[in-house]
Parts: sequence; C-alpha cells; structure tokens
Amino acid sequence: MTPAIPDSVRELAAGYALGALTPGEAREFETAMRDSPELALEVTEYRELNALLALRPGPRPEGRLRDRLVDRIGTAKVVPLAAARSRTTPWLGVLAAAAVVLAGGLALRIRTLTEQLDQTKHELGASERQLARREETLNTLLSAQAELTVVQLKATGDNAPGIQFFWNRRANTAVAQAFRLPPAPKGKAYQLWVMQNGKPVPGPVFVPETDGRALILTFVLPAGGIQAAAVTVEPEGGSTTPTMPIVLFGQVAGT
Amino acid sequence: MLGADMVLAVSPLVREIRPLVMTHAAASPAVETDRALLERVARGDERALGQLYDRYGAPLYAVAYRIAGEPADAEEIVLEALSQAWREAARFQADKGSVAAWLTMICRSRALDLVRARGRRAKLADKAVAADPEAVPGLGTGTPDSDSQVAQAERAGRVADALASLSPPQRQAIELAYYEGLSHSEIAERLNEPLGTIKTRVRLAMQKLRETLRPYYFEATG
Repeated sequence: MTPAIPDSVRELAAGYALGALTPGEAREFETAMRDSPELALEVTEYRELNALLALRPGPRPEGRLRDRLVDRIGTAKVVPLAAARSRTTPWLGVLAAAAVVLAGGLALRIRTLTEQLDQTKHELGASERQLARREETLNTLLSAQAELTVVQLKATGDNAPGIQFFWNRRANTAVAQAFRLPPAPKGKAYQLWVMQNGKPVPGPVFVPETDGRALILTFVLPAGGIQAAAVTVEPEGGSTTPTMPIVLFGQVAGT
Repeated sequence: MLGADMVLAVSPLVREIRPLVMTHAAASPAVETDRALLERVARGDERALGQLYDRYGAPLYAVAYRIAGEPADAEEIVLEALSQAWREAARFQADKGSVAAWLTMICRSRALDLVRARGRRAKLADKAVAADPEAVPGLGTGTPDSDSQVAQAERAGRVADALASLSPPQRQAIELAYYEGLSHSEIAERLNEPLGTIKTRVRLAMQKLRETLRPYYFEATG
C-alpha cells in the first residue's frame, strides 16, 4: 500500500517542475515521487505546461545559431563504446544474408536483403560520424600540447569505478572516460561537476554502457579554472546543484 | 512549433477538446512527428536535430534569454541543451511527456545552472520582449511547415490568454518563477513578502494555468 503523501509535499509539485525549490525540498519531493505515480504524473503535466509557457513572444536567435549547433554536436556525442565496437563489422551480416538470398533465390529474401543493406548503410554512416567525433576528441587532447591536465576521479575500494578527466587548459575544454561504473538507478543518471572556488558547477549528464564505460566528449569548462571534479547520481534531466552524495572525486594537482 | 506527436491516453474531457490541435497534424501526414525526429536523432541523424531546432529553437532561446539576460548566454544555453538532447535522445521516455516538454526542461535546467553558478539573476522578464519588438511567438529560425506555424501561433495565443486571466500578483509570481527562473525564496525576497504566501501564489497560478491550457499540451498526459 502506498503511504499517504503529506499535503506539504504534494503542494511542491509545481515548484519542483519550475525548479523553484530549495535542494532540500527537491530531494524530499523526489523521494515522495518515487513511490507515487500520481505525483509523477502531476510533474509531467506541469512540464507540459512549461513547454507551452515557452511560446510566449520573445526575442529570436540569430540564424547562425543553427549552424553552430551542427558544429557543436559534431564533437559532443557520448559514444557508447560497446555499440561502437559492434558496428565495426556490419557488412558481415549483409554478406551472410546475401549468401542466403543467392542460395534460395527468393524474392522475399531479396527484399529483406535490401532493407538490411539500407540499414547497414545507415549504420556505416553513423560509424563514420562517430569516428569523426573521436578524431575531434583526439584533437582536443593533442591541441592542449603542454597544457593538458589529467585528473583521476576515484572512489574507495578495490576494483572501484573511476574517471579519467582530461582538461585542455589552452581551450578550456575537457573530455572524460569513465570505467567500471555500475548502472545508474532507474530514472537516474550520472552527472559530472567541476569545482570552482568551492562551488560545484554542473557538467554533462551521462549513463555508462553495460560494460560500465562511457566517453564524455568535448565539453566547455567555466572560465577561470577549476580545482576539482566530481560525479554524483542525479535525476535524468540533471540538477542545478548536487542532490546526492559524491560517488567519484578528484582534485587538480597543485590546487 | 507544432507538437506533431499524437495523443496517447487522455481523459474523456481532453479527448473531446484536443481535435482542435490535432486537426493540423491530421491534415498534414507529411509532417514528421517530434518523436520520429527524436528517434532519428538517437540514430545520429544530424538533419533531424536541425529540424527539431527549427521547431523549438526560438522558444528555447526566448526562455534562456529571459533567465540568463544576455544573448550570448542564451545562445550557449540553447547549444548546450540541444547538445544534451543529441547525446541522450536514445534515453527519451515517451511515457514521461512530450519531446517539447523534455527539451524545455533541459533548456531551463541549463539556464538555471548558469545563473545560479554565477550567483547572479536575470533581468526583468519584460526586457526580453522590449529587446525585440518584432518578436514573433515561437517561430523557429528555419523553415518549419506552415501547419506547424499555425498550430504554434494558436497555442501561443492561448498561452497569452491564460496568462492574462491570472490575477496581477499571480501573473507576477509566474513571471518571476518561470520567466526569470527565481526560486520561491528569491521571489519572496524580491517582493518582500512571506515565503509561504509566495509558495501558495505560485502553486495556485500554476494550477490555474494547467487547467486552462491542458487541452493544448503538445502531448496529452494521463
């Protein structure tokens, strides 16, 4: 039986969807929402309302923003490592299918093969784009020259998860590689934070692949330098301030 | 911005009202739904992300501008938000709302991240409109289909009507909470009113807007 939700918590739904709660209130509400489909639905409704309120007339962006977006995503995709590996030999499946078609000579199989070919072409294109993104990542690392700082984010214990965080001081960008991370709880994701003057600045939200690894490609750091980086588990949309305990932490050497 | 996604499960009341919005999508079978576009994005199709930008780029920018208060910051927020959508499209959960709601949530989160990390607040919401008197409700910078524009303009009109129906104190609370991204306590401080009063005011205003605008959601919930 679902426990009754106090009115004081129920009344936080609108504020939660708006992001107007204190971190403590937000945590309390999220805890209640986990056991209450009714509360979750209410938040979903308010988020739909938020989308409508965005339609209020306002200034328009410059046209070049669309081009900048295309440039940006060329270097910003989280590449699922396992998936990328599985796409390295897509033609083998097509060749196998082709052998079946040749042996049987059935029109139905030919149609299936054509569909597979289209799919394979699509996957090949995706692999090529991923390769381009990895080249961008490599460029991020190489362009740092002598100004590359590596921060190891660690947890305690043997065989513990970790993240290698590469900070390009010249461009003030970073890439990170996570390993041995357990799956995030349902409805949650990992979020990277950088510490600047004692305050956490939110970074990318990500989820590891089934093997516990993830690549977080080039992202921009706040101006003024950082002193440390950390990882917490947060709601899927990310948080503005950390709401959960730190699972990984690493300090920049010399700070 | 046409939320071309179709209705899932809706209450009888909503089902009765929604054809007003659905008509546009039904008349335009060639219009690709938001969800279909996002599926293409998840497969790495950059053109699909461009199409989503055409639909939602302008409203997202306006939201970001109002919260951050600076064009350069607003641009960066939109880029970050859509880059996040690009990275996480495969994890979008349709049962938790529409694509429009998801993108708006990400964009507002990134905007709030920025202003709170910097410890500063945005300018008054009206500045955003005043900065561009030629502003058009929610039109993208690309070339969305005309049905999208019609539905978007219709929704924008309903939003304006709904906001106008609020009492002045309620409207002010929504201005500050939604359009400027202030927290309850920040609103109370700015207006020099008790925190409890502000919480109640925001909640009642949002409830009223929700009831009024529910038929026009991009995707029905329930």
